Amino acid sequence: MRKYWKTIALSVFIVIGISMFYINVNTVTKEFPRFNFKIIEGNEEAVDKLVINGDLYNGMTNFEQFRVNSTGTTYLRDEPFSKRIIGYYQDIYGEDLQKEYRTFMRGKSTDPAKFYETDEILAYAETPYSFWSYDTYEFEIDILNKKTKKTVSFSTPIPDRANYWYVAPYGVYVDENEISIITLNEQVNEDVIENTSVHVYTYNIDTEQLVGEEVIDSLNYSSSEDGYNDIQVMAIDENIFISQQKVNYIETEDDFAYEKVNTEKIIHYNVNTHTKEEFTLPEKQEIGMPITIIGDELFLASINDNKLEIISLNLIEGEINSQKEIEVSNSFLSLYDLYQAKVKDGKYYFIPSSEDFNETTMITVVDLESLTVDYLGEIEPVGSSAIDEEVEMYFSYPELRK
Amino acid sequence: MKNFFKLLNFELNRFSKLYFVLLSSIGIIQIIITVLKARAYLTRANNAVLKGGMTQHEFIEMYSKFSMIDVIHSILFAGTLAIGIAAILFYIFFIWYRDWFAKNTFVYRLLTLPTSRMNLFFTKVITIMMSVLGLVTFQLMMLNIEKTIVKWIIPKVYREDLRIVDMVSASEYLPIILPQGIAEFFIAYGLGLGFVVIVFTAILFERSFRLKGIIFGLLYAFISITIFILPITIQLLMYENLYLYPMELLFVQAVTWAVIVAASLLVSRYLLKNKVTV
Repeated sequence: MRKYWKTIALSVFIVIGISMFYINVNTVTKEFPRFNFKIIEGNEEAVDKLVINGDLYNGMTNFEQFRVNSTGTTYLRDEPFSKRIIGYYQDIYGEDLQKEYRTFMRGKSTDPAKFYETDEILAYAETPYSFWSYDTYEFEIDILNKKTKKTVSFSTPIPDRANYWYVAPYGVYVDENEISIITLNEQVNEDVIENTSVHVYTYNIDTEQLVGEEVIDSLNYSSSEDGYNDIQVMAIDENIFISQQKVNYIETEDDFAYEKVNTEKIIHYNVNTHTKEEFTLPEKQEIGMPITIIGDELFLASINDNKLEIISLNLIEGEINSQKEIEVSNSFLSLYDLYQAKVKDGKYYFIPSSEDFNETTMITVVDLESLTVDYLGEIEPVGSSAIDEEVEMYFSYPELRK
Repeated sequence: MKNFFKLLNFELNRFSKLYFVLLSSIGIIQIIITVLKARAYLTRANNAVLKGGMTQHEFIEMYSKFSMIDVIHSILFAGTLAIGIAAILFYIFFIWYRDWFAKNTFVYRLLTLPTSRMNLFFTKVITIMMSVLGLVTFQLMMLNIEKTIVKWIIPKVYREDLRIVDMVSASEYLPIILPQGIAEFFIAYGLGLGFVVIVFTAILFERSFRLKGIIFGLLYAFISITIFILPITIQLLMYENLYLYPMELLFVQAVTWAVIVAASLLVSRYLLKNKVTV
């Protein structure tokens, strides 16, 4: 036995050393802060399906991803290997689609803008990159019949692709045997994006042929010292809303700059009837950006004087129906907070990212039809999980489970 | 089995002196780097605060606190790890060639031992893997020692104490040898094991067919690696998003790995039994 001592010593050294390290790895998140949703007022069920993504920065280089929901906090490193294998939290919408339609979802992106779903079908349209050219030249179209499980798939060249620098899908809609793809087509001049136009390409699913192409709107991307122009596309079933916005740089008294958005033009396009309508916007009223449509009401959100403002615009009468200003206790609200907010089942989930990690992140859920606050709460630290001075935590985009 | 352990012990003993020198050198160099880095920081802090009129808080605001990350991120520290890895890579070849080029063609005795020749192969594989894991464990031990040294030199006010886990994840290269999960650890070292087996098979080609064997060996290694990376390469070439889901791809890669390792073992067995010449 004595002559084997080196082998035994090395084996014991390795087993103990590596085991101790991985025991520490597995328990490391016990020292990380944990959070819960704390209700201030309203209906607690409103946040049952809400998941808020967050990032923890420990010192200069350590970075951890986590999620907070109504049951508590989970860190990515504590998830099963099968979930953390891709190295980040996959978006919930994509994860659900992959679970439910495993075969259909193979090789597909999970961006919700590229899907159209009804009880009968799941349609997908994408402009995939070609490995050999690093550019997109084709539409890849796939339609799954949920009942028969049959799939129709075809690829077709993007019409007049050479005229555009970039073509990106922003929405998909299927009406019987026609699929429409809403895209933003960008043109450049001397390496600067100069112009963008919203196109609707319609293909016959049976013949796989282009049956229609319409340019709904275009925008000059010129920018000035005080701001820039932007375009937003919101595709909800057959309705496409295009809003042209002017984003202005606003400087506060303490030299803090932020962006303020004002919608200058809203166009409604109906894919079924091919009708286009431009709304006359109320004068001297900053109405914000479209967030959803319920019946004949278009809802828009904006941030004014660090308050969230929601407006409902009647599409038939072209008038503001009602509006609501909601106090949010965050010290600073940005345009980005509006972009990352979610709408589901007529409720607007507004969770602004805190600028200061010591600031409490507020959760506001607004019932759009009644324009009332359905839930008001905050993300509160649990127990003794104090955040030390080296740790910074940021709550970013919210998601909603099915 | 007894013969196998005797052989393993024999192989480890043969490497032990060289290994001890290697680890000691790495340890000593790392301690010197730690002391120098810590003292340089403390000198700068003292100069700024005691002579320059800066407050401790201002100094920390400007230069941030000292932590083991300052040591780990130094190029010299990375160099010590590179020395260890290079030495073991060298030993992957040396472990075979020393048997041929040692006095009295030692390999003759090894190949005529009353045990399977594959035991010789396996003991050499295990020796290499144990050397690598020993080096990794030694690095973990050194991080603990260096952390203590930093505590001795740098006062608490200027120091950020990190856990070993944080030091590893803060480093650019330590997560490669110490992945952040036990499953990832087995995958990483499984790949390493496959690499060693393929290189050993290539060496046996060379030992069997000499000059022509170098070409056979290189070709064999190239084909094995190509087959291994084929599943993921095909997907990257064909699809923007991977066709196989991550766990499926892992399974395919694991099966490919198992086939390559099994094929290498069979080829090595054949070469050791029928072709290797002394």
